[in-house]
Amino acid sequence: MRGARTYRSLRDSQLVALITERDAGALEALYERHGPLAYTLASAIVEDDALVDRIVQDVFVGLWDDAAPLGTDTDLVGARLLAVTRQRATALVRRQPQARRGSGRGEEPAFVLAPEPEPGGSATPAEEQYAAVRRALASLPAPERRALALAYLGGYTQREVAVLVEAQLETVRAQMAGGLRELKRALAGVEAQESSGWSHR
Amino acid sequence: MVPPVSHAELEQLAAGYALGALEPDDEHAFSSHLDGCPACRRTLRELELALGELARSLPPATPPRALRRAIRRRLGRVGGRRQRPVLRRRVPPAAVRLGAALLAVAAVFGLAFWNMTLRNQLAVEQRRRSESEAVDRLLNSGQSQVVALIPTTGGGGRGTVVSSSRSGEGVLLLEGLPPPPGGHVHQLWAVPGAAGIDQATPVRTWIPTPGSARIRFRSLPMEADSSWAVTSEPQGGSLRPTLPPVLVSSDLAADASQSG
Repeated sequence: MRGARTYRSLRDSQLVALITERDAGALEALYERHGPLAYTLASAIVEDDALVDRIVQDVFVGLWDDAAPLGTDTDLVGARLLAVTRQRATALVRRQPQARRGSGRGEEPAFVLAPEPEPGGSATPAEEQYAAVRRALASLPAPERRALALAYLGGYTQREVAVLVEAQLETVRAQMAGGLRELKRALAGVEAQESSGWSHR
Repeated sequence: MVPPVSHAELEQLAAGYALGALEPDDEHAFSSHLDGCPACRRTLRELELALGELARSLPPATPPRALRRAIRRRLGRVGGRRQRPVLRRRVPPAAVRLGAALLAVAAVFGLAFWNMTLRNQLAVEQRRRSESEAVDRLLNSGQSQVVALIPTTGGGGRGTVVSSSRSGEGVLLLEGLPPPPGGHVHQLWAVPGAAGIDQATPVRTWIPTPGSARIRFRSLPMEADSSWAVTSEPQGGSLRPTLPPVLVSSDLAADASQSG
């Protein structure tokens, strides 16, 4: 165990390496860094707070035993931790559909976006990035946004989404890819996106 | 599935893969494709990053303070200890100071050893609990396969593989498997449906313990009708089985008895 300040100075991948060596302080530091967002994500999928609690607990306690799913790419650790959280939360609502957020009101999984910050203040780069994601989501054609939400928040497979939205599987696949392409574009900036693009050979 | 060839098809598969929304056969095909395609790995990385950011657009929910404590409790950690205030004392004679220092060193080593022992016990207990939870989770996932492993001729012991073909996660439950020859370990193999044991892919090795054991593993996503086998292999494991299996799933039993 080191001091909390030491952990705070470590990169995500370094924390993961320490977790595999059973360093509880590193796990706490990772929780401090990514726990609130994991909780936010689980809350967007599951209605009941006690179940959300349990999911986030399971995610972090699971990492104690096996942190391999987070990988060693430090930029991806947070995203993968959220992916693990999403996997657990969607697995739960697939088993217990009544636990799904909004199911009691007959709602299907949909993005409810955080409100835009008040104008006038100076936004940090991170806030600008979130705003870009929000705008990209809001600007997506409704079928693309719906297909993304059903997969991302609902845990439905592409084939299941096709049945739910009464569309061809190929259409749904294209919608999901199109939606994610827009998100990538929003994050990378239009200019960067135009210069890189898909380079598969 | 037809192997993906076009740019658009790969982009769609990558998106579905990142979202965890592919059907198992597409997921398996794309996962195999990823191994040999740096361009798709780069694209997938970008998609993973974008999906990570997507969570930040959701209305923030604040985790209760008790959540961190609950995680800490489940890890078996004791909460932070408060340091005792240091009291000013009269300086004792040199001999007493030396004796006290030696005692303190001994105490520190003793405490460190005791702490290490406790940590080891705790780790064993945590691992056992986590393995038990892993089995429960797999069984409750609705996507798990349960395959019984039976001993081959002359062998003993039994095994059960509980696995998810989708995630590749699984647990091997063992009972009474005799130890391997000296210098060997046991190794679990996955055999794709309809293939022989010579087509087995290594899953993991472990150092056998007497009695019962739970061996957790993570393999590549498998076909749902995969078979399983356990062999004894030289330490470090092998790429292909080098000795006849000691446990096999029933559909491989005939194959194993022929090869043995």
